Amino acid sequence: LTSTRDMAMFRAVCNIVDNTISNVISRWGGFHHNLAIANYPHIAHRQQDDSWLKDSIFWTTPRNRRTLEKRWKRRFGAPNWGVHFGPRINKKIRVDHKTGEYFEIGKLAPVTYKKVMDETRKIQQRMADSFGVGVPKDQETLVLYKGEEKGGMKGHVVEMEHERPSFFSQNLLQKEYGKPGGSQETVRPSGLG
Amino acid sequence: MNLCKMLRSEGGRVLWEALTPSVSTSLHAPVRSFHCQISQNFAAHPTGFGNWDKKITVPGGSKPLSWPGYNERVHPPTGEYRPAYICHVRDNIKYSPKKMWYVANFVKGLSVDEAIKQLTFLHTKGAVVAKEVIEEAVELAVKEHNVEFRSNLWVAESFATKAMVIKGYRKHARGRFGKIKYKYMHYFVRLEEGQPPKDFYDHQEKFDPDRML
Repeated sequence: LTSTRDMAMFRAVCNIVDNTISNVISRWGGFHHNLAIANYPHIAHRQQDDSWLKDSIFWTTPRNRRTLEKRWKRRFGAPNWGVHFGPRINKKIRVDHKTGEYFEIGKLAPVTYKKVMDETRKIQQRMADSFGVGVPKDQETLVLYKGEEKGGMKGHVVEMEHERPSFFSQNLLQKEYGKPGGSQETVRPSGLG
Repeated sequence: MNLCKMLRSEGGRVLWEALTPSVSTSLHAPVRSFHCQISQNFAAHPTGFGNWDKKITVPGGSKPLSWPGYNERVHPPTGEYRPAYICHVRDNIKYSPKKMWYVANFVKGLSVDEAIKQLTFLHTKGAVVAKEVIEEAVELAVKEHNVEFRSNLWVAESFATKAMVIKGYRKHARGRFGKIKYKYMHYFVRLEEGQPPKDFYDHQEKFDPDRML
C-alpha cells in the first residue's frame, strides 16, 4: 500500500511528464493552443488519464515486416507451390523433317510453305489491283491462270500471268457442301489427274 | 590484411586447401565446380595467380570481364571425371537485367538444342540475346574447347548482371522533371558437356516420401 504522500508525488511526476510531452507534441505537431485546449479539456480537470497516449502517438506503425521468403515469392514466384511467373516451356513446337525447321502446331512453317505464301501474296496483290479503289468487293471471285477458261461461272475474274502451280489444284476451289436447296450429299471431286 | 602474402606462405597454402571444398564433379552440379591449386610460381600481373585469372575483353565487347578467363583454367589431372565447360558472355546489352532474369531462368538446365528451340518461339528481346549468346558459345565449344558433339551440351549457368546505367530526364507537367534510367546488362552463360539433369530445379523433383523422412 502506498501512502498518500507517495501517491501525490507520483501524480505530480505524471503531470510533469504529461505536460512536457503535450508541449513537445504541440511543438512538433503544430497543434494550436486553442485546439489543444479544445481537444484536451480534461487536462484542465487534471484527471489521471493518458489522452496523449490515445491521440498523439501513432499506434498503427508497421511492426510486422514481410519476410525475405515472402517477398521473393511475390516477386519471383514459387514453382513448388504452384506460383510461377515468367515464360513456360512451349510444348507445341515440332520439327519439319525435310527442312529441319521448327514450327508451332497450328501455324505455318515459313520455310516449308514459302512457295505457297508467295503465291498467295501474288494472288492477293492481283485481286486488289483488279478490284480497284473504292469498289465494294461483294462479288464471287475466280482466279484464272494462263491457259484456263472461265466456264459457266459468274462473277469477277482475276487473271494471273503465269501458269497454275502444281500444288494449287482445282479441287481446292470447289465448295464443300452441296447446291443450295439441294440435299446435303457428298460432292465428288472433279478435275483431278 | 594481405591475403596474397598469407596464402603464399606454406601455412597459408595448407589453410587454403583446407578451406576450399573438394569438388564433386557430378553432372548434377549446377554450381561452378572449380578446384585450382595455387602454384608457387606466380604470373607477372599482380592481381592474380595465372593467365586464367586476368580479365578478358570478349571480342565485340568493351568491358574486361573475368568470366571468359575461366575457359583458360587448366585443371590438374586427378583422374576423376570432369565434364567440359564453356563460359561465354556478352556485355553491355541495352536491356533491363530484371527483365532478363526471367529469360535466363527459363533457359537454365535445358539442353542447348532445347534452349535454342524454345527461345526461337519466345518473342522477347531477351530471348533473341540469349539465343545468340548460346549459339556463339556452342561454336566456341566445338572450335576451341575440344567438345566432340555440339548437341551434347546443356546450360549449366545462365544469369544477367547490371551493367552501366545512363541517366536521363523527361518532362512532366507544370515544369517538373522525372529521372529516366537507361539500363544495360551483361549476359553470362556456362555450357557443360553431357546430358542435362532431369531435376535441375527443385520443383522438378518427384516427391519422395522416404527422403522427406
